Amino acid sequence: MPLKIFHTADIHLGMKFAAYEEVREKLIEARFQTLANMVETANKEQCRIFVIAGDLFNRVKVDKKDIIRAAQIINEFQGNSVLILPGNHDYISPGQKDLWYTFIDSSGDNVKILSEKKVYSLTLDDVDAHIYACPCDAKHSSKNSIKWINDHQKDEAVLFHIGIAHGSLEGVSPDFDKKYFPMTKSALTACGLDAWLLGHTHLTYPEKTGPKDRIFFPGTPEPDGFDCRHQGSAFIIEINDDKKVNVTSLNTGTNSFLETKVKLAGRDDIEKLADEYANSDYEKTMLRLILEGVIPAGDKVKLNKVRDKIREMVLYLDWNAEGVMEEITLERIQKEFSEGSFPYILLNKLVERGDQETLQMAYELIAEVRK
Amino acid sequence: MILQKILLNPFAGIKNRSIEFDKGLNVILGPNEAGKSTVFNALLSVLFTPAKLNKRSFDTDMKSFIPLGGDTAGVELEIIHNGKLFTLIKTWGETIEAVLKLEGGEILTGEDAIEEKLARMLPAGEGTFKSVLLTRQSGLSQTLTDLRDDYPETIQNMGDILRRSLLETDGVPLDKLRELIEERYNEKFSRWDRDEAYPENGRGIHNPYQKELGLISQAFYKKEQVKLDLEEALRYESELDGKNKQVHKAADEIEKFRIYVEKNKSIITDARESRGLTSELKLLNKELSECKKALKEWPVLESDLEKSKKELPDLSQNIKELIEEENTAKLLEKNKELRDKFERVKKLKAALDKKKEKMDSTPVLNEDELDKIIAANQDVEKINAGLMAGELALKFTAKKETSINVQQDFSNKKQQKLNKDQVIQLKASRRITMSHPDWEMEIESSSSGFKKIEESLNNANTKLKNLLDKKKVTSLTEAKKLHKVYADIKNDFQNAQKNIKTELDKDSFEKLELEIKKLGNIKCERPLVDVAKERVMGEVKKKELNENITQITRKIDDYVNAYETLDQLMEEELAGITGRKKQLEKKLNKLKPLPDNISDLDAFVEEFKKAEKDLEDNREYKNDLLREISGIISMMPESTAEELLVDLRDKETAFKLQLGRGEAINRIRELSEEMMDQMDSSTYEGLEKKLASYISLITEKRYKSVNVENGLPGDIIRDNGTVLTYNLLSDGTRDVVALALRLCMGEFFLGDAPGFLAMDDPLVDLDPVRREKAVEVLQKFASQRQLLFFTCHPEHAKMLGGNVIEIGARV
Repeated sequence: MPLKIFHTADIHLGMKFAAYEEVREKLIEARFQTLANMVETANKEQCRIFVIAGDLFNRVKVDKKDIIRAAQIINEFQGNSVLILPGNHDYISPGQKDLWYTFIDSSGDNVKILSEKKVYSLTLDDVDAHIYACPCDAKHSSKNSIKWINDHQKDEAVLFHIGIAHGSLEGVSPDFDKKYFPMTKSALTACGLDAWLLGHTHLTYPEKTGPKDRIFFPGTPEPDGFDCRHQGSAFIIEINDDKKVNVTSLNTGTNSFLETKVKLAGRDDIEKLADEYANSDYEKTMLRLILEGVIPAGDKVKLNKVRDKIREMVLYLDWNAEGVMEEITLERIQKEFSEGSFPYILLNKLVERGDQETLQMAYELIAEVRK
Repeated sequence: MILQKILLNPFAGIKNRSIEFDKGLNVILGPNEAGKSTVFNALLSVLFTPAKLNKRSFDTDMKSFIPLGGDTAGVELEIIHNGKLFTLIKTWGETIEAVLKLEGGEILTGEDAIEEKLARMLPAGEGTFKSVLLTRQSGLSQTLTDLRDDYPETIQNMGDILRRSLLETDGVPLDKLRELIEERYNEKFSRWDRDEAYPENGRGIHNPYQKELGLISQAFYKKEQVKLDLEEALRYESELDGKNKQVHKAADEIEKFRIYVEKNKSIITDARESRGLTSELKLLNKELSECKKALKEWPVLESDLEKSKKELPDLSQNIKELIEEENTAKLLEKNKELRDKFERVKKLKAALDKKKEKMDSTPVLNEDELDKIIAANQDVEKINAGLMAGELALKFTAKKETSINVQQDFSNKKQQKLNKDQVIQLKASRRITMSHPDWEMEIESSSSGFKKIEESLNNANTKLKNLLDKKKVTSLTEAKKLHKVYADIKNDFQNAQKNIKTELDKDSFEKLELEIKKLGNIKCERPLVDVAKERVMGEVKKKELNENITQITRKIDDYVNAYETLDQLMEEELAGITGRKKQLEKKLNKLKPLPDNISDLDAFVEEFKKAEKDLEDNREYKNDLLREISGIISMMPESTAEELLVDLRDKETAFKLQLGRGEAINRIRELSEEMMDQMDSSTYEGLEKKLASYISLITEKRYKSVNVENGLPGDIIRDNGTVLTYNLLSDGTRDVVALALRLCMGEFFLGDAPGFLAMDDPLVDLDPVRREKAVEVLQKFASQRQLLFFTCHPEHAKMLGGNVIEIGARV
């Protein structure tokens, strides 16, 4: 019987989003919502195992109500077993167990915290699988948690052998200081398991999956910053009896972050900007627009109106139009100011200097005091 | 370039109306609301408003000029430039058209091309036209009022007015601009030190300014705060990592010791029990051994005791006999010693008698007698020495041959013969006597009486002699010799006395002799030594026998105390001990033996105890660490290092942005200041004379001149020589100045080229005389330039003359 697994990681419940004060509650709430959505999807897809490969929580210190809420959401999973691995953000160690004690107190019987480096048998849950757990026991470690598997004798009578680990993967995750439980593909492969369900890297790996893939990062299911350019993702991994793997990638995010640079070359581009972003497609989007370019004189007003329009439509707008200049030419100066007047001379000098930013600012200052 | 004709077809409320302009003075006359403004706006629009407008611009700039009920506004303007006719046609609204017809039939239709062509033809830029040349109500009069009101401190003279007027032509008040720049500069740089690129006075995030913070300082502090937060988060995380490592290590240690203790606990327990049982067994074995020994010894002891007790009386009797024999032997020995002593005493007595005899035959000169002789001799010597202590010297010269007797001290008298003139020198201690038959002379020392000394000496000599004579010796030396002989003999005698006394001890010779006579004839066959030796051996044996009896008795008593009877020992004690021993051996066999690798149980127990202590210590240490970790977790910042890192990047970007914007405003500030400083007379060269000339003309030379300072017009000088500062100008005079200024600026911007100037009626507030003069000035201006004069006063139009264009009636 094929083994169908819902694989997620890096949900980071309890992330505070202090930099986005006005929407932080929505962002915090979205992560719970996404978790609930994933459980619902896993139920619909009749997954037998729900795996969270680390960092369910953002920190080891989480509000109790949030821990209980997370447990209650996860309890809704109707499959055989939920496997939760402590990651480097919600690690378990002799010095830090409160988080997981609180969690397990509110968890259902089918929820397992993979707190030890050992094999967890799922046979009692009617799944012919052994889980090789590699939990994190600190936030940082230069040693990964998979080494113990080399000393373990696989029980060949069991059909599926699945590894669950959390940490960076050489060539995939940036970890220059090698402090996030660094792993290598060769070391993972050498363990001889049917699949490795990993967490830590917020990007999906492999980007495109094939039947021979054995190492998986689902990415974070809910984007958490502008450096996260995807929509939030998770995997449904189906392993057949012949060990062939079929992976489905899901878009899971409630919200998304989008940072984009737009070069404005004229009035039409301002209109396009409004058409592009001031619509309902972006109502769940944290949008960072970095604008640059030259627009016709006086069109900053229009641009600001577009900004306000977009702001109304998106979840959050980080508007950076410092790079946008109104077109200020000698002709324009001549048209607007009389020769010999102070603005005329000042602006002409700035045109000569080719200092667009200062020219723009000077023009705006003059406009502000002009009667 | 001058205007020739304008056609409004239609434009606002005017339809198909054309107006022809004279190249000089054109007076556009009409009552209020008659359409003068429409004509003016049509002119402005056709020259400067593109036909094609976006909606917003159309709404703002042209919508109000679309005739009611219509959809298009149109204007056609004929221009003469360099003697050539150009026709500019523009329509706005539904029909959009822009055409510039050139002389010769060439037509330009592109807006850009038309605009470019027009720009080349117009004597000034659009801005200059809109602000100075083609503005009806130039606002100069108001500007002048504003200048006085706004800058009472800085506007001191006409130069300031001219300068300000020119610089602020576009309605941009310099000081307000400067204030705004300063405001923006301060908004950015307040509390920021640009040179140090740091908050003022080095007040970083640990001592931040709380008030009057500029945007750069704010952004800086925000960035630095996040940096601090990040450092704090990293510190906490690092501390937590460290503590976690310690906890892991402690947990590993606990596990290690726990396994060890668990593994070895039963071994230690068994070993401890085994040690106890073994010890107990050892005691039992000892007890058993003692029982067996008692069993074996007890009967023997009983037998030995009996035997010893029997042996003792014979031994005692034998010793008694030996003592008697020994006493006899001792007496015999004593008698022999007495006899030997008597023999020695007898010999000593004979020697003593001999020495007595010798002593008795020797003359006696004992110690006292010798001392007396020595003392008498010393007296003689002493007197002699006193006599010899004086010194007399006599020189005697014989004048003729003579013989004299001489005695020196006690020497014998000597006769001495002297020749004539012979000199003798005599020396003595106390006395010199010389005698001659004819004379005697005695010379005596004066210090003592020589006679007395002489007498003492004689007495001493007599005493000495008597003593010597008594002992029949002649000198002290002999006396001493005699004394020595006597002393030696006496000494020998005394020694002999001592020897005999020593030998006799307390006895006397007579008593000893008597004892010897009393001794009987005793016999003993064996020597005392042999007898004594045998007696001692007998006594030792008896002592040993007694001790043996005591010892045996004590042992038997011990056995009795321990076992009561021999039968009891055999029947009960032995069986009991044997039974207990079997039980112990059974228990011992059940215990685990020590592993082969443990040879030293004590060392192993110590090692185990240490492991138990290490286990407990590590548990305690781990608990301490857990408490510390719990404290660290509870104190950890709300955001993780990863979140703060992202935040820091954003804050750094925001800071850089503010800094960049600040630097831009600073460049504007510096350039503005530089420009303000550099605005000098050269900028307005020639203007001042024109201004003075116009003012003088309008005021009938009442204000005859304008002081020019540093190339700029200064105060206005009245005809009576008094100075009229700008502040003292009346409203009427100010209008004069405003008109003069306007005309001046018109000339300034138009230069030598033909051009036009539009203005609203400035004559309204002037008194009749000044009005007349102003008309003259305007006419003079119009003789050189095209002037469009808008007025609603027919009399002004009449005064001005020129091309009067009436609006409100069809021409």
